[in-house]
Amino acid sequence: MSHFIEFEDVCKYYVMGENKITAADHISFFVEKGEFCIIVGPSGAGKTTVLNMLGGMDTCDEGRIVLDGNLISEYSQKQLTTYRRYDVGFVFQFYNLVQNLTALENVELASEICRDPLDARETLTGVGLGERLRNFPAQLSGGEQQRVAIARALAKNPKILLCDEPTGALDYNTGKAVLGLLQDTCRNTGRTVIVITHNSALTGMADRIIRIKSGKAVSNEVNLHPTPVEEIEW
Amino acid sequence: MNKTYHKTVLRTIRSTLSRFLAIFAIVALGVGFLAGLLSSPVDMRFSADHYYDEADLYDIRILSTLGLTDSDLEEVRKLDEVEAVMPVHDSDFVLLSSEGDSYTTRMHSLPSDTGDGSADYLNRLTLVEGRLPEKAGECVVLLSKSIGQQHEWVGQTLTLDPDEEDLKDHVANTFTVVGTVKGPAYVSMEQEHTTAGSGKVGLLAYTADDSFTMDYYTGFYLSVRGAKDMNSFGSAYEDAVAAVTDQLETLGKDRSAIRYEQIVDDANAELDDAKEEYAEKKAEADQKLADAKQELDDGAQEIADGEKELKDAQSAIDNGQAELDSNRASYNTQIASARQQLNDGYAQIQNYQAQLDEGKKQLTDAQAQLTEGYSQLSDGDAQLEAAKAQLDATQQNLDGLDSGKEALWQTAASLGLPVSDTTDAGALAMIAQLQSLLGSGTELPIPPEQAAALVEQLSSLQGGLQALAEQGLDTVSARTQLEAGLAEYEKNLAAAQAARTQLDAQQKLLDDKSAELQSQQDTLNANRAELDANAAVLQQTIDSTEAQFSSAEAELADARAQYADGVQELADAKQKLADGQKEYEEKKAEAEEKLSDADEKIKDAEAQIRDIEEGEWYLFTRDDNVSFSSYDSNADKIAAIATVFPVFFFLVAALVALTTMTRMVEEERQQIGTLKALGYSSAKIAGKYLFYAAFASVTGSVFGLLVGMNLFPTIIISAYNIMYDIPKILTPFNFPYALFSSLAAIACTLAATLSACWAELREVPARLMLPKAPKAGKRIFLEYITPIWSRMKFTRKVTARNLIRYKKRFFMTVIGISGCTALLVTGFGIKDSISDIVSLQFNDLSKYQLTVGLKDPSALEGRDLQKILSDKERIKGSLAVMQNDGKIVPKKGDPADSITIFVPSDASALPDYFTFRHRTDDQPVAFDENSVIITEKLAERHHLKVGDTITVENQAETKASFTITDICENYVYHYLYLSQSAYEKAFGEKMEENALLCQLPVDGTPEDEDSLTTDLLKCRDVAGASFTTELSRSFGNTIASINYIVIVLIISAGALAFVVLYNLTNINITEREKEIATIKVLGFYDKEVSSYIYRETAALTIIGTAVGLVLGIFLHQFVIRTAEVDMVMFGRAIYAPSYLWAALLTLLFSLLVNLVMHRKLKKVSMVESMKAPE
Repeated sequence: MSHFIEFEDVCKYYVMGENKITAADHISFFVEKGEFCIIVGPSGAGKTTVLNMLGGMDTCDEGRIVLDGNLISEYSQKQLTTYRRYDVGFVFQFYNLVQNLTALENVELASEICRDPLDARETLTGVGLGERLRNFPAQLSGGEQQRVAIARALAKNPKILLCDEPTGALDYNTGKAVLGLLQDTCRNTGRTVIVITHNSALTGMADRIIRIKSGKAVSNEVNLHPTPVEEIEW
Repeated sequence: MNKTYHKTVLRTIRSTLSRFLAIFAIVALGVGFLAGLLSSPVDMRFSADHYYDEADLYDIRILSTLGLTDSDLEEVRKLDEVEAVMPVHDSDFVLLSSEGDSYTTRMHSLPSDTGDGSADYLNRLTLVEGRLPEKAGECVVLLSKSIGQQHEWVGQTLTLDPDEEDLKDHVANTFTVVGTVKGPAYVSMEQEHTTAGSGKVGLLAYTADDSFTMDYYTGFYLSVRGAKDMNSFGSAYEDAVAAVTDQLETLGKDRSAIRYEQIVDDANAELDDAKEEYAEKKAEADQKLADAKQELDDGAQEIADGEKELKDAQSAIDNGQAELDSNRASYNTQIASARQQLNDGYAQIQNYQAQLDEGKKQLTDAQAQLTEGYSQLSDGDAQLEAAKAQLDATQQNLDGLDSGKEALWQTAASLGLPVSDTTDAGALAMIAQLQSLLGSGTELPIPPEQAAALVEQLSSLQGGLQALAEQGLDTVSARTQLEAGLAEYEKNLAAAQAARTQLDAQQKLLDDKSAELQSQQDTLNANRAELDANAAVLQQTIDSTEAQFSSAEAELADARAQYADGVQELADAKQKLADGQKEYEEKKAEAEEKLSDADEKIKDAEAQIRDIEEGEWYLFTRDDNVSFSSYDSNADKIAAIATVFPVFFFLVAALVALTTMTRMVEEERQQIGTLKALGYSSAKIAGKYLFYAAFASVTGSVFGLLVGMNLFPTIIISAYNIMYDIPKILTPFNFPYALFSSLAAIACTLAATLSACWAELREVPARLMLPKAPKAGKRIFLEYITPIWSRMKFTRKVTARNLIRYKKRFFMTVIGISGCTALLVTGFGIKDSISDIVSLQFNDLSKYQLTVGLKDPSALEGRDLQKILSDKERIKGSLAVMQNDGKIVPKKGDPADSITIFVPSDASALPDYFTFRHRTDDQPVAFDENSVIITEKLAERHHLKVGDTITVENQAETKASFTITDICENYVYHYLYLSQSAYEKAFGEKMEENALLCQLPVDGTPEDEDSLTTDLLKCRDVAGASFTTELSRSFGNTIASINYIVIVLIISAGALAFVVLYNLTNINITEREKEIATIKVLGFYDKEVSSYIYRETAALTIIGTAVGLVLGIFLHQFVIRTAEVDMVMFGRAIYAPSYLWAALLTLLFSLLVNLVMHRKLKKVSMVESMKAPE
């Protein structure tokens, strides 16, 4: 019965002046441990809301969110922070690297606050940046920066890896490479990876595809034969 | 501008409200503070001027030591420019309250008409309580800041001090207080000086003019036409008044010459009288003294005579005594020998007597034997007699018995009886027969009667015969015995007769011997009588001689007593003489003192007449009014502080405002690009930011002006109202300052905005649309120091890198914070500097406590002054000096400062009264005959150093040049210290002492000071006495007020610091929102997020504070140098606590800001991290 990640009738409302916007409307889905899951939907469908709630950056107004048996939806702010700190790795669309830190230091920034971090240097080597440890973000290309970001997320040794449009700011090839990295990470480490994108072309590479539309999860399908990323075109 | 565009602007304001408010607040603070402080002195003067105008304060005051007359009044009134004249009788004297308090009072007269319409009523009083005086002997008391307070005045009666002899005929002797007032002439705390009483005016009072009965006015108060419309602190007013004073000076010369002549003549006449009287009195006294002296000399002579007499008497007594003693000795010898003779005589007699007595005793013994013999003889006689008698009785008895026997024998015979035996036995037998016959009753032949007689005869014969028988005798033997007895008797009788004859012969011999002895005794008695007579004669002689001696001794005793009396008398006489001598000396001293007093008085009078001099008019303007000028100089002080400080303050504010605007423009780069892409003109785009900036700075300026120009002057004037009585605080809107400061603020912000916009707008929209390439991270030098770098946590590394990466932000923040710290340091430093002056100048540098002003060097010889100076309990030491006003002859471009030329009468003593030292290194500066020492501030103002030449001009306008030998620390006024010889040589005139510097005992009380002043002022030619305590007190008051201003400065600087820190932190956070959001997403706790940001702010604050502390030193120096009044040098040091406070306050504000910012940080949404870089 219990899945690794579980959304159960989750609702989220934003009040803007007199209007009440329903960002999440009784969303329910689940993800199993070790899956490479893609949440896909058009702009404004509520993908980011889902991501925020799952990432502990936002709370839900109704429903339950469970991760690895923990009821995230009932967490206090402090608990949420701790949750983010130890259980979630986050990869941003715009990398969000600290400009003032080298690649290695950016990774250390995350790993230093964790209980059981991976070695920053190794992680970076793992994402193919073994030679660029001491480079500042501004000295790296977009793809390299995103790799650093992924390394930063991974180094925390989190339960899940959340990626928000990880290829959004990257060119096609770089994007592919980054996706490949994520997929490999999932396969090699058995870590649950959730990627949010508007690009449905990517769905082929996922183990599980959750489609979201107008704040509702319209489907939750399992792809038993994910396509390797190299073969995906968009 | 179209609607949407307009909206964007308003929306920008709303969305960046904290930034908008920060700019608003900074501009408001800067502008308000600058304009407020700049207008403070202006408002101070304005408020005072307003009060002066309302109260018709005089413009000019005329005084003349000679007094002013009605004709003077007329002449003054004639001048066109004079609007009103109020002639007054002002006088300083001592009044005593009923409780015995003594008040040195300045009594002013009021004009008869004190109504609102009275044109000649100047210095109008404001009633506080009661009413104004209406008749002589009534007065009102002025409640000034320093005197008259805290006392129930109304109803009190004050009486003129009986010591005020000169005045008692010219002024009412009692005053009843009918009210209390405030007045424009005395608005300050400074005490006025006077030559009456304690030297300080302790009570200010106004009375009706009738209370004074002098025939002259003591002064005129007058107002200048049109002067009321001008600000009395301005130059226009000064010129207007100066024009009138010039005229008055001319007039005064004429008028006082007239008055002078009259008075000097009168005075001289009086003086001549006095001199004459003095001469008379002196002659009289001299005569009296001479007489007394003569008398005393006579007395002394008499005593000498008496002494001699006594000496003679003494020797006479001694002689008499000696004679008496020798007489007594010879007398004693004679008497002794006479006594011896007598005693020898008596001894012989005694001897004889003894022999005689022995003879007598033998005689007596012999007599006794004789008498014994006689007695035996007599006894023999008696025995003989008795034997005779017995013999006789026996004879008779025998005769009777014989006769009875015869008769019996007859009877018997008669009767017939035979008679056979005639012996005694036969008789007894016959008797027994007869008796038996008679008893038988037989009738006998004899009558009965014969019978009875016969019986009886028979019994007696029987008895006799029986008795004889019993003795064994009978009548016949008895008769033989008797016959033998008789014979013996006869023989004894013959023997007795022979013994008697022998005895009688012996008696006869004895009697002869006795007679012989008796004759010897008689001779002896005669001798004794002779001796007795001799003794009596001797005794008589002794008695008479003793009597002679006694009388001689009595005589001597009398003489001695007389002598003793004489001695006593002489001692008395001597005592009397000594008393007389003493009295004479006393009387002489008294007379001499009286004479010398009189002489002194005459000299005083002469001095007074001399002092009358030419009888100048003294013209005083408001500048000479103590409260006016001190108020003015305080306004100057504020003006001085209020220039540099707020300007710097303003600069910091402007800098922060422009930083903020620049950042804002830079942040909105993308929006600018969008607008530009949409086809908005550069002007229009820039317009938005300009509008934003203008809106914030204009509203800020208006708000700042409205608040600051009211608040700051009000606070400052209120602070000064501790010392000054300015009833109404007026803060008129001061357009020049308002415009100046607000325009400056607005211009700064706008210019900054414009230049920021310009930089952005130069780029093409396409590039603007793209996010500005993030500034590359850079290695900083610290990284190369691996030991440190590798040990740093990299959150610290981030901080370190960030600080260095954003150089502009770094510098702006550091400058902003350091500016505030510097302002705080300066604020505290000003306080230190100003507080320093008092203790440095009056405690450390001046080592005297009292300055006595002298009218003339001759005052030093005044007896009273000498007496006071020699009393070490009152004045420990004094040094006569000359302090003359002089001027420095300036080099080109330097100010023509007034200086005090200071010349001690004794160069070597000067260092006891002044501490000469260098300020910077505390090294003492020596002073000797060749020294030329100037004070530090003077050297500074004229760029003089040791070895330079200084040229000065003295009062006589003689110029002299000196080579400076040293420069000494000094804070108040400028001094040139010269030795007497140097002065006299350089100026070619004699040094004339005009002041005495005195050191007082350390434990002196204010009462001691008062009494000392009172006594000093009584001395001839003493002009005044001022205590440094007083000066330091008055400086202390100023400093108290300045402290308030400093507090205002500190609070303002603190406020600025807060706003600046808030703003800078705010910018910091806004700029790094995304980074903050990211680290939040990474799971940083709120505290970690805050500290991540704060570490930077803290570092910036600490660096800024450190820089500010250093900057503060310079700013403080600058402010102090600017703020210093010409005559005063402030302390140049800032004390450690001031730095500490400034630093602590900055850090405290930083902490406060961070507390506020913590909430803001918590509010940063993690969603920000999702946003594309702008």
